[in-house]
Amino acid sequence: MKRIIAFLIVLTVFCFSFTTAFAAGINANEASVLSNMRAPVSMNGNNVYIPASYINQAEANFNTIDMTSAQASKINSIIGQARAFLKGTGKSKISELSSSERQKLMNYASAAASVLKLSAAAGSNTKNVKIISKNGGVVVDDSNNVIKTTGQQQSPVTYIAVSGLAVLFILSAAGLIISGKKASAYEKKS
Amino acid sequence: MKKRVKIHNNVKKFLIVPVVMSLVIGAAAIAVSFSVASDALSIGNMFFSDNQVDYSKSFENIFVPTTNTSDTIDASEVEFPNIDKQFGELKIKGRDVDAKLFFGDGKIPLRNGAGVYAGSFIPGYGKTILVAGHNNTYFNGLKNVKKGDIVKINTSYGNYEYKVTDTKIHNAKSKKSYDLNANKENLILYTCYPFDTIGLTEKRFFVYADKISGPKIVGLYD
Amino acid sequence: MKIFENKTFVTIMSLILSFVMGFGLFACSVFFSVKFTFFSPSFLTETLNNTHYYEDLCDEITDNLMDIGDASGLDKSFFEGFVDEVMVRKDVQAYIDDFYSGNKPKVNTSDFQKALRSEIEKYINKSGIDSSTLSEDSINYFVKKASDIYASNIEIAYFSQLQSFYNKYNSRLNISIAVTLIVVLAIALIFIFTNEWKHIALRYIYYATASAGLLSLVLALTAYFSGFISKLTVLTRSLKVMYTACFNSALTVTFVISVLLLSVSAFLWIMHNRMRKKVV
Repeated sequence: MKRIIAFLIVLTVFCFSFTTAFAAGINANEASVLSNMRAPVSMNGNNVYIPASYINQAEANFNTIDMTSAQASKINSIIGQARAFLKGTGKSKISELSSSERQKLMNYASAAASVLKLSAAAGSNTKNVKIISKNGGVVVDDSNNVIKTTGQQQSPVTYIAVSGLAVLFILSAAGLIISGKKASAYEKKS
Repeated sequence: MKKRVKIHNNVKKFLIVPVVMSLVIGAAAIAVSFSVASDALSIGNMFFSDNQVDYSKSFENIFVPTTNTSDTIDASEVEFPNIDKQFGELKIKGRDVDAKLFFGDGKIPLRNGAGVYAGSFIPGYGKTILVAGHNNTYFNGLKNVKKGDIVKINTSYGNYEYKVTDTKIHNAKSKKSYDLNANKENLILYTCYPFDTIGLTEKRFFVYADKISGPKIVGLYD
Repeated sequence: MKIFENKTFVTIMSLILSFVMGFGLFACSVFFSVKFTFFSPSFLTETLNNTHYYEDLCDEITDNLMDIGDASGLDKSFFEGFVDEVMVRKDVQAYIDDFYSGNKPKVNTSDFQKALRSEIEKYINKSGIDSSTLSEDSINYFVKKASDIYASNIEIAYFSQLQSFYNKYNSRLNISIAVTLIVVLAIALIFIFTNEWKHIALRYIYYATASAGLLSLVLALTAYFSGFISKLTVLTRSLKVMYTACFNSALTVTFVISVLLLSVSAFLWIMHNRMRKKVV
């Protein structure tokens, strides 16, 4: 869920980048999006949070753009729809979603991508997927490994499939599902 | 007149009917495709774009040395880097560490210097700066780093100094080695461990440092 | 029956049948394009052999291995010339063969690991490193990570995900081709045997073949001139080369089929005119 929401957010973000060279700081619109990202998603009573690494990437990238209220509104709407959808599945984990549910989730991402003029690029195995901006630069590091071995994404956690197949973001379930009592020190509410 | 009517009828039959029929067949084929594979088509559309991947190994350098000595700098005066851009340099005097500093820790940054993890922040932001480098190239010198050593990071918007407070060895998967939610500026350098040997382990050598000087970026939040 | 004596009704029915036949022919042309390209193992093998895919792939693998070499205390020169194109070709071919035979495609890295261990031993001996100071576990871990990198580069994007799609639709494709051909043939026979004047039958068959041929031609030309293939976003140059070559070949097959259909149409129209003149 975290990766999906972060994915949606950063997709949304980068369609508006490059409008100003020094579009610095977090304006109120961007702050609303960050706040939305930090809020948990309730999946069958479990609170799921986006990892700080993704929220930080979004924040770092927001410093390079100036988001308008219309744009923030669109982003928040997409997040809201994805959030409501996940809650409505009645499942506790992303890994429990059926293939059609994952497909639906991916549809949110692709709808956002088509609106936001961003694209996804797959590596030699589709475990490595990056989001590409207008100038061809990579804008999202999708690796779940914060601490690297080399300069490559080592963690095969993102799959995007086409041609009617189920589309998944497979997240390592451990550590991503947080109940009210066991909140990780690194995934706090704000 | 009869000949003109004859030619007109022939053209109608020869050209117009097949053209109209092909349009109708085309419309029907599109309708069928969308009804059968609309999800696949919309997702597949994500992988076609005018935004093309840059396959070159070159990188952009936005670093221009500055003599700014003020305590603060407004966010509007800072050019926040994108992934794979060099935005500064990192040095540790006397420890043979002198590297270009990039945003992002992918192939290009680590081949050419040291890279700031994109899920952390840049100097002056007031949060965690997590920097990676290879242990047999730019970060080989970390093996000699001790408490009290000064790490210098020069950027286009300010020059920063951090004092080393600790060095530790952690497993790469351990989340206790860093805190990306920290609200105090702290610098973490890391590289593969052990040094000067052949092979890989899951261990990483971490150097922790606190900020002692450099401008704070202000005006970040409206 | 009186309704069949109504000329307007017969014309409308003939046009509808001609439309169905044209749709069937167009569907057939798409099915054949897919059958002889993406669903054909020899097509992919030939395409890869005719491009510089393997050359690019070897460079990319070497590049990625140098990164892990950097993290493992090895000189950059360690991996220069290490990646053997013969081994890469063999492993890619095995991967493709697995896919098309219905098995889950995977890469066998045993040869790669063997070659890498041998190279490490030579490197240790050449550099005079005391092997007792090295950790067997570290070297094993390095070899495993390097072989993971090798395998992930040999794998072809989307293939493992498309496996079930291929298995499901491969047999259906053959059935679809058979069914559409039967329908097309049946309609052609209906035209021939229900029309006293055979030139009229040829006219309606011409409409079907010409419309299918035109549509296939438009499809091929639109795809070609839109340059959509160049807009495919993949992370490696070798994959870009591969997919571009595959799509171009598929477009060529579609183009050839359209030319075939239009040629048949031209023949049918000529025959129609000749037979019509005889009747007149």
